[in-house]
Formats: sequence, C-alpha cells, structure tokens
Amino acid sequence: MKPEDILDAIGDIDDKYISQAKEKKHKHTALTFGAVAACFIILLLIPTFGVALMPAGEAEPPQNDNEQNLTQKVEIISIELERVNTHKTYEDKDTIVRVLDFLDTVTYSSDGEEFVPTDEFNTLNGDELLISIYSEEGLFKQYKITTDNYLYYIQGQEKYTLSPLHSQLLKDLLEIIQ
Amino acid sequence: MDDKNIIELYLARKETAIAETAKKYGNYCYSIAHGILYCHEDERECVNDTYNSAWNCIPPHIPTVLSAFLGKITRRISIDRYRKNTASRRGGGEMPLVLDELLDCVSDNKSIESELDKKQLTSIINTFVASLSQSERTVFIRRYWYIESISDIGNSLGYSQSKVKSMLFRTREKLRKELTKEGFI
Repeated sequence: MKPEDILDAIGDIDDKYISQAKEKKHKHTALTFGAVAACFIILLLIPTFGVALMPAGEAEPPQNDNEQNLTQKVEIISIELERVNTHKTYEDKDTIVRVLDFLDTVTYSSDGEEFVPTDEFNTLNGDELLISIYSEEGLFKQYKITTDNYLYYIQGQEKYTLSPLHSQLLKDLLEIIQ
Repeated sequence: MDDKNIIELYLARKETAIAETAKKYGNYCYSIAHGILYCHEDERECVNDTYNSAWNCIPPHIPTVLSAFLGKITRRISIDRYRKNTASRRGGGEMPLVLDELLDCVSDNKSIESELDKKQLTSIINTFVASLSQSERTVFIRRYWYIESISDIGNSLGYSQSKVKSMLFRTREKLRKELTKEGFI
C-alpha cells in the first residue's frame, strides 16, 4: 500500500466530517459570552450576599492536565531548570512559553499514570532534569525528567512516558535554553 | 443564496448555478486547491474544472452537503493535477510533506489495485475517523483531507505547532495499528 492509497481513501470520508472540520468555533464564542455574563452577575451579587457566595476552600488541583494549557489559570513568572551541577532561572517570556509548550505537549499526548512521590523527588542523579515553575505566589508546579525517559509531575502525582517524539522535543528544548 | 436554491438552479439547467457556486464556494475550493498545488494557474484551472464537473454531475446526483461535494471534486482534481505535475517535476506546497507523513502508516510501496481493496480501505478509514475524538478528527481532516499546513491548523484552532504535530503523530500511530489489525499492513 502506498501513502497515495491512504490519501485517496481519506478523500472519500463522510461529508459531515469534512464540513465539521472547517466549522468555526461558535461554541467558544458562546462560552466566552456566557463566562462574561456569569462574571457580571457575580459582581452584581457580591455586594448583596458578601462572603456567603465565596467558595468554602481552595479548589482541588486538576488530577490530569491533558488538553489543559498550563498558563491558562496562573501567570508564570519564571522557570528554574536544575541538573546535577547546574541551576538556571529563566524569566524571559520566550523561554517560558517554549518550556510550557513542551510540557503541555507531553502531558497532552501521553496517558498519565499515578505514582507515589518520595523525598528523593528533588534529588537529581546523572542527567536528570528538574523543572520548577513559579507564579507570583511562589512554586506552582514541579516536573522531573529521569534518565529512563519518564516525566514525573509532582502536583498531580502523575508519570508520563516520553515517546521518541517527546525525546526529540526535549533535545530541542535543551538546545534552546543552553 | 442557500444551497437548496443553488442545487435547484443546477437541476433546472440554469447557467447561473455556476456563478452562484463560484460566489459562495469559490474561496473554499481555491483554498483546497492551494493546499495541494501551490500554483495559482493550476488552482484556477482545477476550480473551473470543479464547476464543470458539478454541472455534469447534478443531475442525476443531488448532493446532501454541497460544500463537501464541491470540496471532494476539487480535492480529487487537484491531487490528479499534482500527480501529473510531479511526473513532470513540478509541484510543491504541503503535499510532499503530507505523503511523507503518511509513510508512517504503510509497510511497502505497492499500490492497491483491486477495487474491492480500495472500497474496504475507504470503509476502514471512515470507521477510524468516526472513532476519533472531535479535536483529533478536526486536526486529522484538516491535515490529510484539506492538506493544510501545521501552522495554519495551529493558528486556526489555537493550538501550538508542537501540539498539532503530536496529535497527528498519535493519530497516525492509531491508524497504523488499525490497518495492521485489518490486514492491510
């Protein structure tokens, strides 16, 4: 079978999928409008009901970050990359975006598994890399990439396997930050 | 003019049908041809051929989704033109990249000859596409049906390029597994 055969077969897929793929994101606009409307209503209600409307505690962190942009909720101000004898802090937006983009891709495209964090999480061996992400309020998230090609995400206590694609992305990332 | 009225013009054999099609779907057809051919002159000819083909097909055929019907014709004609151009060493754009990526899903370079196998492959791809999540399906179709560039897909869906690449990589892996299971690889 040639790639052209697959290309031809894809050409005959159902009409509805072809038109759906080009549809504009009306839902997104509706959601945005809905979110703005909800915020407006909350702002109107707060002076009336005061703290009664506020949530009882902090929301639980997400259990799985798949398809979630890491910068969505919190503004990241710096990133620290740590290896056995090196430690660098990056505050420029470009590097922050690239690092978050890498993490976003790995966690999106891998299936997370649970792991139990130990005290050794911050202890680095060999070529292991620790990525600490800081927001204005302090340490936001920590990731560790081990020499056996795993990425551990401590806050959600998840482990991701780095595919060859991710390994290449990691290599590109390390070249950029060096 | 809505699609129903345009189709009625075709059925009544009124030549304004082509003008109305060009007005509503001209840009859409051009964008498909552009992704494949990357040559203004060829794109124009393929889009004109699309209108002629639609004129010859309707009737007896009555499309249920006019945009997809026209898009399929444009895509087929443009791919045929691309193959002809490649044979005479012309061509460019996204097509070589797309074909290169689809190499992940094949095991050898022998073309499928029998019509039965072609139909079976189409059926497998249709079932496969239906099984994907909406976001995976959109990215897959934009890349391999519309032949859009990775950056265009990322920009229009709000994804980073690496995310689009990663989604496509995973989807191709799934497709390869499916084709292996069905005995195509």
